[in-house]
Amino acid sequence: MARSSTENMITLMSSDGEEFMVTEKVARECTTIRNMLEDDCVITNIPLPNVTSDILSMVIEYCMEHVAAAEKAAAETAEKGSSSAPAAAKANKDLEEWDKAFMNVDVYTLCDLILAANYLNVSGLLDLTIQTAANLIKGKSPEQIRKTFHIQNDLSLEEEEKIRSQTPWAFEKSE
Amino acid sequence: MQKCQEKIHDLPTDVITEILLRLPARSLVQVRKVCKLWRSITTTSYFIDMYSKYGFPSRQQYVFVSDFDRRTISMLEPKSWRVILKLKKCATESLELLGSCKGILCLYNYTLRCVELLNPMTCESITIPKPPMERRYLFYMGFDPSRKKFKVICRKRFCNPERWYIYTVGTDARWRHLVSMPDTSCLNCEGIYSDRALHWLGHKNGKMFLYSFDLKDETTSSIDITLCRDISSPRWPRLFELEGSIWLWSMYARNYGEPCIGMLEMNSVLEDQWTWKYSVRVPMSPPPRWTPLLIHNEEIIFLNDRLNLLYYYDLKQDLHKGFVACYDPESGSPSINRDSKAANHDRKSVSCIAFRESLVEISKKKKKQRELGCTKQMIDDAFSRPMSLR
Repeated sequence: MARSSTENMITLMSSDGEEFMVTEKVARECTTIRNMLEDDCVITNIPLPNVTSDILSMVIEYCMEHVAAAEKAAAETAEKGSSSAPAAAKANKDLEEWDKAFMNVDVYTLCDLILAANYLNVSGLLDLTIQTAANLIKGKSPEQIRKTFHIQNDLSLEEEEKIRSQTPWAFEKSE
Repeated sequence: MQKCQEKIHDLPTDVITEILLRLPARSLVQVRKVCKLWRSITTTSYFIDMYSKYGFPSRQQYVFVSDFDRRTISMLEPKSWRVILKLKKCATESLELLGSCKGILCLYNYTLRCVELLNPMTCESITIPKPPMERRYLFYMGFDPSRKKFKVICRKRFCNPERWYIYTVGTDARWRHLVSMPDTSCLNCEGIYSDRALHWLGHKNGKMFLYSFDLKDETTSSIDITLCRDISSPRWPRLFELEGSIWLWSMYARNYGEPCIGMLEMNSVLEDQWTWKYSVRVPMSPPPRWTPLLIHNEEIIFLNDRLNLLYYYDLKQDLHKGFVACYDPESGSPSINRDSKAANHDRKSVSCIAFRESLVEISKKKKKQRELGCTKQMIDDAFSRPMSLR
């Protein structure tokens, strides 16, 4: 993928002082940074005190992949005059697969990614990470959820007893 | 190490809320048992309202079917027709589904001769006192959003004039007689709840009217629907609710006398405008007892309550097929046959309703936040940030 030499490069600095050079287009995927750039267009060095270098590199990786996919789709549309539906569907599927592989992380990293995506306001990444976290909770028992997210059980026995519904209904779950 | 122990608790409450909003209600009931913070988030009325509006249930619909023996009620997922949940009161009680609203089921208990409300997700249930008369009554359930109360309406038929009673859940000690109800000859037994009101069809002076009973003011208004184009002389008109709107259908004959159902959607009760949306072919043989349950993946799913037949109609291809949802008592799963020839002629009636799950509480109790280990300040802080919802 050829990048025009005139494209602005922006330096993002993580909380631990590491610097990342990215194109403006990639940086603009983060709404927080886009707003900064729009307020002050000569800015080239942005410190991000809330994001560590390993998490920032993952966020950048995500943004680069999504920018590249969008550019590729735009180029194909321009080439053929109109986008072909099967090709677009395949590209979408590839990107979904990539997202799925990208989300193969431990719970700590996932939480950090959610925090970073929330802070930098990367809507696609926030949506992806939140859905991943929801999928980790779905269909699990309270004990399993606590184990997955390393949560302490701070409910007392008395409270737990109270939660247990005293329903006259009998349930049989098939799932 | 301690810091990374409970990493998930470092997330802002609005982010945790967004994660939890994407879960089915069944999972949220489990989430409430995980820890104090999650429990306090998911039990606030703010979360419960958000969940009904934007959460998982705004996308997913289910069908509740009462089994032939009226002992068990099953929740099916309409894509696979897989049984997700089965519930029964006790081995001896016979139940019928009357309707649902905001994720609450309204059931009639034949054994105890009373109405029960149940949230099948949270298992909260409430039994309503016996109505003031013994037989020939119909029940409808609705919600008064201004007072946030469920109301059950009881209508005594086959008497002149009809008698109506109302019961407000959590407020009334007994049924109240509704005195100023319109004197109409009732067209059929159906009453539907949509947008704060109960609606039904009635005849008066040779004209057909749509009556609407406002659950907030407890007053009735009517519109003459014979004045509307397209429905001047409906055959076997029926009223139903689909996706929150009011619909009317009437039978008419298409090519070579093939029976069809014309489905009209009401745009708004105030404007009295109807839009002809679909024409659906139905098999000739059964009497016209088709009730549209839901629209799912470009298919309308109907229930024929005479034949115990669930019937789907493909809107894209104008194809119609029937299939039977009957229950195999051994495997406990519905045997689905998407072939209309396999229609089950077991005449025992089965009731079937569309359902969206929620965490709505039937009877609101004043919650003591201290009980949850969370102060009011903590809850207020948690929700002080605006939510971003897609």
